[in-house]
Amino acid sequence: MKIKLLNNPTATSTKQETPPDVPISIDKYNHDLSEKIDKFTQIYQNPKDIDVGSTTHKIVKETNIYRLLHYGAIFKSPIRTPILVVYALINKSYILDLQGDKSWIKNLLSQGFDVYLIDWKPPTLNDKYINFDDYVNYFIDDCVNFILNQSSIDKITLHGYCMGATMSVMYTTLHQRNIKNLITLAPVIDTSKDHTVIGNFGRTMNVDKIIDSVGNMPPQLLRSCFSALKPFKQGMNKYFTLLEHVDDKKFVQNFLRIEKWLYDIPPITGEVFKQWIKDIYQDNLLAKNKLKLGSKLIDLSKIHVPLLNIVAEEDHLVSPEGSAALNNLVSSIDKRLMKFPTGHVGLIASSYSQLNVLPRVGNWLFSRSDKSL
Amino acid sequence: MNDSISFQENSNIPFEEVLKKYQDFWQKFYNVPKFSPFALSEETSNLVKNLQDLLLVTSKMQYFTLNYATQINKTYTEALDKIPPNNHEYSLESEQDIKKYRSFLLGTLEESFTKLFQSEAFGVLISDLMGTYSEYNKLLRNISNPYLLSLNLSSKDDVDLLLKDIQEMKREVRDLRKNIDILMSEDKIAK
Repeated sequence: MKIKLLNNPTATSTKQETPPDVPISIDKYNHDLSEKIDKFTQIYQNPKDIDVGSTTHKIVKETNIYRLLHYGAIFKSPIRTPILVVYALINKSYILDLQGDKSWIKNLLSQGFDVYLIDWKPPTLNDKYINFDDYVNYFIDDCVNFILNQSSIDKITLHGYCMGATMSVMYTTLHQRNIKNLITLAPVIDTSKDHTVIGNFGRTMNVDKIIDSVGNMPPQLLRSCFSALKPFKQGMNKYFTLLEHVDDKKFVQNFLRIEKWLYDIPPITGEVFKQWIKDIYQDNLLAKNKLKLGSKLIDLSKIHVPLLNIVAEEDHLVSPEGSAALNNLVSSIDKRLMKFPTGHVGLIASSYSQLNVLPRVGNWLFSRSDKSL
Repeated sequence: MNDSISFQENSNIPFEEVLKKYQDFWQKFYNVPKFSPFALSEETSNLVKNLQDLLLVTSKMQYFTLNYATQINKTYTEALDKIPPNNHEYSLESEQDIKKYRSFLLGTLEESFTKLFQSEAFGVLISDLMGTYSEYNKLLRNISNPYLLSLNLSSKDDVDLLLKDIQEMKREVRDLRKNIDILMSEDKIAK
């Protein structure tokens, strides 16, 4: 058998034993491909408004650093404990409400939960000295206190994703009196177990030199690091898949939403990025219980609230082993580790997560939330 | 320099030697006496020093960029070598075949590049590359600072100090507000 591209439809195959099911000519294939590429280019050059974050919400608090969003309840629910979702400082929070049928937030609402979300604003150069202490002990704390006052309850469920999960863990160690349950999705915890490309770049990076020069970590540099993650199987193959489905409007819209999110990268404040790389990736201080926020030590063994830790087994951004380590570091008696055979984004914004992850999260949380009589 | 990423692949002269030659050459100008009638003013000698450093950093950037390109090309070539050559049997007669071949091709490339990106040597190279870009920016800043000062404008370092102070003051204000809230709520309870 030899590599042979047919130059006309009547040419015979050299593969005699098992003839291909759909023989095509290379001319026709090229013609079809060229048409599809034209459509693809048109879509990319003239993208129509890509709607994201469509679930109804109110901005209940806003500063120059964040907006606190409150999602309207879909029905009258007996669940009283609200959920505060802490999003990461990387990319934008609308991935949690990307589109109706794949919305993490909407699904939680449909299960009767009251949901708030911290939507971080892109920092300016004036914010470059804002550090994790500010984010955790001031901004998240302000949001928690706001919700407690609004809801007339004494505890909330804190729920973070990725870097937001790491910040949620930090917050819980220091302000446990406000937390009823902690739910973490792909948290960065023990980086000694991290064998990802990002982990490798993080461990070798001279972050002081970079931040001294650029102030905040610029989106361009972050993008170049992320482009090294699955550059072919995901980075390139997704465009072939788009070409194949270029006539399917729903597919194209879904694709563009994810694409918009992937390239919508805000800068990260210089101080936070330094702490993230030096303290967490290079010195692994969080897992060693040696990380300090201001003068306060983050000791994970002080966490004793119910913990649900969710990891994606195929996560190539945050090592699942490094995330799973959290369960061994906390003192909670009621703790659960859930592993799902999906990736970092698939965990939160896919049909898979709607069918397999969210129902289990809802079940776990329902039994641990306060209900009205 | 890392053994696996050698400059010799790109040039016959070792990079360290090139750098030393640059330094030796410019050192002569930098060391011109500052007290003779022919002395360079301090500003000028600083400028010469910064320009010399700028040249060095530019050479370093070139070196690391070339190494980066070499590593990427090498990995790409090695990955393609794993793909069966034309004289091997590989059918591309249906759309399904093309998809299978594409998947195999991308899978092979992915494996090779992920191996490269996960290697410590490549991580160090990326760090060096980003580091030299940062050095370059810093030197441009050093060169522009005296001009900013002469125009009665703040340098980046001045602005940095100010921003740091503002951030510190914001923290203090927030702490004060929190303490006031606590005191007020205690006062309410007492009443």
